[in-house]
Amino acid sequence: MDTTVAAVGSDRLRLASYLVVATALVAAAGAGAVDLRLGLLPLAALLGWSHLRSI
Amino acid sequence: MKVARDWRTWLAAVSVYTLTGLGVTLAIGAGIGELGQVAGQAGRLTLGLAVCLVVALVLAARELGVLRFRLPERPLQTEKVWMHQFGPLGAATLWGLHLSLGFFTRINYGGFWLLTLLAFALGSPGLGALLMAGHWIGKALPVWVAPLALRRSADGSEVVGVWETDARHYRRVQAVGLGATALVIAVWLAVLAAGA
Repeated sequence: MDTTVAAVGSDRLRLASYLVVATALVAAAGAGAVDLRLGLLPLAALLGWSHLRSI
Repeated sequence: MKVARDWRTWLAAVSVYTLTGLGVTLAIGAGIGELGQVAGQAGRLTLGLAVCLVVALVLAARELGVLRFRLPERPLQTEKVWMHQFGPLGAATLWGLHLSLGFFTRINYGGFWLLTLLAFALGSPGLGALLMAGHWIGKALPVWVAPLALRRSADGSEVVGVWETDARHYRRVQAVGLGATALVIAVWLAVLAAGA
């Protein structure tokens, strides 16, 4: 893989990663304030996020 | 997806992949929750949550490199050859089935096992289904965003290559998820203790 392409792809996926983390944490705080069980659901999605390597 | 020819094929394949996995994970999560219910976990909620809290913290420490141990897993990956045997949609369906089963492929991070344990400990088929389906949505999400994030097509070598070069970052992301889950469980335990 071209190293420049890899660096750009890495930066973009890392940015997407930060967005996913922020969205999941905010959603978990909001949902958890209503019902703690619901607060677990956005975190479940966050825990699945890092698994692209297995695809 | 491992192979993307044109955007319509890609969209159909990724949709089939996501929906197939969603169905499987809903069923598996409900099954695990049902097992927990039969085992009487709902009556031992505090104990179950306490165990999950410890497991979440241990797994977070593992992702941060504080602890080192292997996760239970079968070191298998999906078969690229399915694309040639079954075409894009058939292969996407099979990849969705295989990867969403979770227990039959590589498990890189501890979150999967924490959610499996939570689904059992809560003893609720509905909540178990939502937890495992939520994990699958997060797992399928990179496939949707990869074409936006990468300059070339989202072929497997490029995506996996990027992921591997940035492995420490994704371990920290997983640790954040595990830590946040531990926090929710701790608050839940505090609420239960206050109500007792």
